[in-house]
Amino acid sequence: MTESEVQVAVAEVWAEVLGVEGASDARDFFELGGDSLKAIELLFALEQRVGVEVDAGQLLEHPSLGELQDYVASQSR
Amino acid sequence: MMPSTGHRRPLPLDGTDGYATVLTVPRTPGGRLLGAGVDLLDQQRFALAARRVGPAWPHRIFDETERAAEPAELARLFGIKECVIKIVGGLPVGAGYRDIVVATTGGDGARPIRLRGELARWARDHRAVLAGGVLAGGVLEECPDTAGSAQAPPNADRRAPEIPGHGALHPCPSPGLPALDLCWAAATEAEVDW
Repeated sequence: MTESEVQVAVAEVWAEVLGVEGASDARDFFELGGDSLKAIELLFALEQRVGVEVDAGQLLEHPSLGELQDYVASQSR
Repeated sequence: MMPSTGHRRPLPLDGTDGYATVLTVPRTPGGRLLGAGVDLLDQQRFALAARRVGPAWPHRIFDETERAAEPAELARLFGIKECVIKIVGGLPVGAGYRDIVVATTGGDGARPIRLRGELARWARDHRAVLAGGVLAGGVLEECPDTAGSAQAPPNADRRAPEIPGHGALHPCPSPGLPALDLCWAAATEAEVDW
């Protein structure tokens, strides 16, 4: 996957799990209604869709869509 | 008179009047309380999330010993892990749910909790001993979206939710209403040096 494809895939997973459309890159996962169960769904979906294993600690470290996209893209290279 | 809609039925937490509880945390002699966490776990939401994730899910969240537990117990173990995360102030990078290992024995009493990896370092630094458990379970009397109606909303899942590879959870006490477990964990300072 190219970096832009990874970013699109992460945004799609983010929108599906949180049930939001066109979320701002800067808004926090938990601010958007995310909780521990949604976090697990997000992490598993990222692994299946992008092939990158993200642990829960990384989500806390990169809680916005923009940060998560950058992190996942850096791990998928 | 208080309206019943959306209000939580008092949970029988202490076996007396059903309104109050005293949480006795297992403590080493003289060990001071370092922190405590609580988590209200919705069994049905947990099962639905597990169903969406698929059969691989337990391997990332639960230790081998924990995975042998029945479905409702797995959900409670997850709730206890969440309580531990609150105590330590969030999972550090590189840590995951599997680094929190909750003993599956102990029934409704206190179960010992073991930490691994980065979290074990936190426990060593604080000379912490952890335990957790489930205080009580209860249900909402009525959901606001079903008030005044004998029917659950059309999207309410009336079946007992299934966890992939683990079978069905017990059905919710009332269709469309959550079965809730109040989970807790506490960290106390060990008297002996690590």
